[in-house]
Amino acid sequence: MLTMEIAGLKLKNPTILAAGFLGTSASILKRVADSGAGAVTIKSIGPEPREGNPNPTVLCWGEGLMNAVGLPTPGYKNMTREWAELKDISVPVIASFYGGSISEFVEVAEAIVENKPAMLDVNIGCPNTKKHGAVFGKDPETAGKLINKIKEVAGSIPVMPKLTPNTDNMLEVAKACVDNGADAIAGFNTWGPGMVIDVNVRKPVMGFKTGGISGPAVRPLMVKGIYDLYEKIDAPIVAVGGIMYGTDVIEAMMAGATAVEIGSGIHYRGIDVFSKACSEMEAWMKENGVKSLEELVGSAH
Amino acid sequence: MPTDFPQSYRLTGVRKLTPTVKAFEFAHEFDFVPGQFIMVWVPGVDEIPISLSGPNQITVKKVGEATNALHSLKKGDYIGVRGPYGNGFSIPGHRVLLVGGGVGIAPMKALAQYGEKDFTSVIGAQDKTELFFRQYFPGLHMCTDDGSAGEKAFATVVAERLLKDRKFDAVAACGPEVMLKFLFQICEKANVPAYFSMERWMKCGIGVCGHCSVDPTGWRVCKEGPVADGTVLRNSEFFQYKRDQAGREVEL
Repeated sequence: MLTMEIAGLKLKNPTILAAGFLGTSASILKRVADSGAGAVTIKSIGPEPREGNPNPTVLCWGEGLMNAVGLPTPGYKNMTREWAELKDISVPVIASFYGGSISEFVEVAEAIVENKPAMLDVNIGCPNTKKHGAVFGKDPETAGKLINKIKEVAGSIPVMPKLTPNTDNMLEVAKACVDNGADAIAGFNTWGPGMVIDVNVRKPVMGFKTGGISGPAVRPLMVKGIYDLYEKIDAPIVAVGGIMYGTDVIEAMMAGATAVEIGSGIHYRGIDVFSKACSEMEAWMKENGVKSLEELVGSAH
Repeated sequence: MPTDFPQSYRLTGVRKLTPTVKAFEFAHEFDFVPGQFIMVWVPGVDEIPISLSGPNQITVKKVGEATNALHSLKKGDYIGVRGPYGNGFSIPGHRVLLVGGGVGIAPMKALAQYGEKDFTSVIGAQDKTELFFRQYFPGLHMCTDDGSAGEKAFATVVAERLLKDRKFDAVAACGPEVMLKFLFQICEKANVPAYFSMERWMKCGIGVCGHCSVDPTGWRVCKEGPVADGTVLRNSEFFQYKRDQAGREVEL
């Protein structure tokens, strides 16, 4: 009832583990897959080992999370165990990755492609380092050129850039990515970034001082962004931002998403948020006589 | 909506317990289970997981940048705290052998104090200057590597002898992983259930970043842990390897 296809990936349900959450090892990815996710995403892989930012790196301020983990990675050369054990995972495994230059992106992509992930999730949206992520996602020309180069090495593996919402150029960036061969578009990485100051200490609390905002607070912003993307681009869309409940998934699909990613929802509802959201979707579909998810995609337009 | 955000409180007391260990008390009491931890924010420096040694107390060894910064704080200074997190000790039976090694003595003090069991205790350190909290441990056996206090032996050796001499329902322990590795072998041989407080590099503390999850089950030290029983410890990465701050594997 919940099966979906996106850029050639067959999903048993449209809920995907968002990049950056719980994707640090093959064993935790397997656990998330066993908790009902339709696909899982490996935490962004970088060219060299990187420790990330000092703590606090993830906090919940109430209506959402803020994070500035800062792209820690063992580096693609130090992942032998993970690649070997990923083969035991029963759902498609998507690999998120980043670089500090177009040539680094390509270097990482080439190495990842050899391990045959189900999809490449290109991180051009992370706001939490000074020279990665969103640096490549704010200018349409840069983003288009990057996707073009990655497509050259990706072979048959679909390529999905994950956008930053924090630019007036968001739609143009998305269009440049699709024009250069992106097979799907994910929207969005975290918002802001934001800051919280401790009034006793008189200092920002986050180790990086700022952090990208996610969770329920950003869901209406995400829905509007997906709605706009659906009108503008001709590629399947994966919605990310504050999705926790079955009706949140359905809402994102009505805005134009073919699938969704869940991250912060793990904090609010537990690691089984995927199976919970799926049974809620099934209940809604039965009640409303909806036989297949495909009829929902873009239905709010 | 749940919040997991550091709340700042003034330190109400700082006591030097050993040349490298200090106890810090703050103006907030947590309702906690011994073995649970809090995330401690040292403003402007870092935030680190530390097991509670009392409802308003943490006991910390100087080992790196964050703990050095913490050690430089004085009564009246602010720290931020959030938690308590994790499972804490939940031990069946009545007769329990406590084993604390080094700064691992700190969380075991909370268990000895609030655990309501028939405890026999082993605490061990390098030398007599590094032994602390001895007044809290019932049925105490002390040991040091150099014999400067108590028996000259590793805590594991003393624990093994006690397990041979008497019947225990469980062993609860915290200490260096290499100590726990040998202690676990001893527990398995003696067929006594083990409950060990474990450590992995932690970032978020709330079960979303995945950094502290262990192979092969994805058991999260911050969420399902930090106290692991035999079903978690057996055939796991524990006692073999761990992941560093970047996520690279390093041998124990």
